[in-house]
Amino acid sequence: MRKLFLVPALWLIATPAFSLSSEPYLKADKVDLIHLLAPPPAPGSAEQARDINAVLNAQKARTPETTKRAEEDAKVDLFAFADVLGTKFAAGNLPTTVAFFRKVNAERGEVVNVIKDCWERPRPFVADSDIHPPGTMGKDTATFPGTKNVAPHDAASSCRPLEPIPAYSYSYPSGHSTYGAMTAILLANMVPEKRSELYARGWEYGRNRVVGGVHYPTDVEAGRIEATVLVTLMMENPAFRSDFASSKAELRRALGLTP
Amino acid sequence: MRKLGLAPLVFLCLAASPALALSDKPYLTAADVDFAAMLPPPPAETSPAGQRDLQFIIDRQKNMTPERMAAIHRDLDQSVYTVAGPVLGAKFTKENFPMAGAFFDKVVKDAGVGVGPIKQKYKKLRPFQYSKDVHTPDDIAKAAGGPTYPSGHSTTGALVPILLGMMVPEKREALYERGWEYGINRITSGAAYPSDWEGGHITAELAVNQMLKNADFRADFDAVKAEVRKGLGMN
Repeated sequence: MRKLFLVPALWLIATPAFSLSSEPYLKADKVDLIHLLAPPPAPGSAEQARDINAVLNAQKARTPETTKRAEEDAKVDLFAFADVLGTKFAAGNLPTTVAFFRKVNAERGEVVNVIKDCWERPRPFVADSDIHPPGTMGKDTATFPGTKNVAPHDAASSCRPLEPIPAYSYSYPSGHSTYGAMTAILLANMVPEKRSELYARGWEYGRNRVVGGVHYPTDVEAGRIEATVLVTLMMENPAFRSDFASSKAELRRALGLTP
Repeated sequence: MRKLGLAPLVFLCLAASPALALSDKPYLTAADVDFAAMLPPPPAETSPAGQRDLQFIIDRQKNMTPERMAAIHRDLDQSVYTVAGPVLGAKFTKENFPMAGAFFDKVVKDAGVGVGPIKQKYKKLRPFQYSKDVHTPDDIAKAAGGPTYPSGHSTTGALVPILLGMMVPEKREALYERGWEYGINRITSGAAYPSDWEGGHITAELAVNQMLKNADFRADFDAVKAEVRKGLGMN
């Protein structure tokens, strides 16, 4: 079992194309999203009722096509953006780009989970029994045994009091929406020719979470805002800018665009 | 007579003097953040997202009431007293909190480097300019400066809860709720789309994120925080 994991990992590290910086793109102490993002609507508030209504309406409007699309976007797959960039946007052609986005996404995950655990907002389908995510979308948000709450819960943090780990991970902000928006922003800065289409695709990622009943509109909105802040912070890091430039060059070459 | 005239003058000077202590340098310049590279482009009017945007306004206007229209007119003003007044109470006025007003005017003005140039980049028509189904009172239409995306009012409506929420965490949720209402009023007036609100909100977050790194900003922020908390009877 262990060997099966190790072999591809070593291969990844040894390939020269994967010469990305080994330092983190985000300096954890520079990220204070807990104080930048709006707190989620409180249980029982008018805003919470609006949010629930929006999810119920999205559920009512579901068709087999939109449901399938939402289920596909539940996977965090860079190549969902092939909708916009075409069939040349494929893993085999883009080792540096794939590694770059994987690193960006890994760092995103760590930051987002801190905020989720700070606010402890239950998912729509947990808060309202009339909400039913399709397929495995609900189940996919289940927490793992041994999951820990990673937010600070001291008096200075303004986080809610520490609760036991719930069966499903917390809702606010939406990590998929952050992922979709970050990827869109970065790809759009690599391929400005497709800027509008890339943003539209990345924003759809967020909307599909509401269609699936696993997120509220306010989760999605906060996820997008978080994405722009995180990309801005990453852009300040020279190591990030250098890796961004390498990925951009590789991507434009693969797509047959001018350097 | 002279004496009577002087007393308020002295009082005014005293009241105004802390405001003069704010930094005269901008908290944020165009070189600090590449807003154009970060903000999503606004949806085209004919795209599905653009149509949803327009429909949202039309639906809101169907349920217009005189009270809502009065709130929309009140919220044309972008001072912190108007944005935060409903949360912080009747005492939250320019007379009692002079520095807060000057500080937020400056924050809004400096965050303008993330609004004005983006408006000019996209030159998107206001909803009432695009669609005959959107009804905007003449005075609001006349006062709407420049293209629609991103919304300057929504930027203000987000800047205030973010920063005041840091100063008065006790009222943070209520401030955000009020900021949301402020943005919704702008949308309901037909002068901005929901996507303009989102663009304004993102602009505000990026602007604050950057301003917090500026030492002058932090010093002014601390002084205003002290004024606000003292004035509200909080320690």
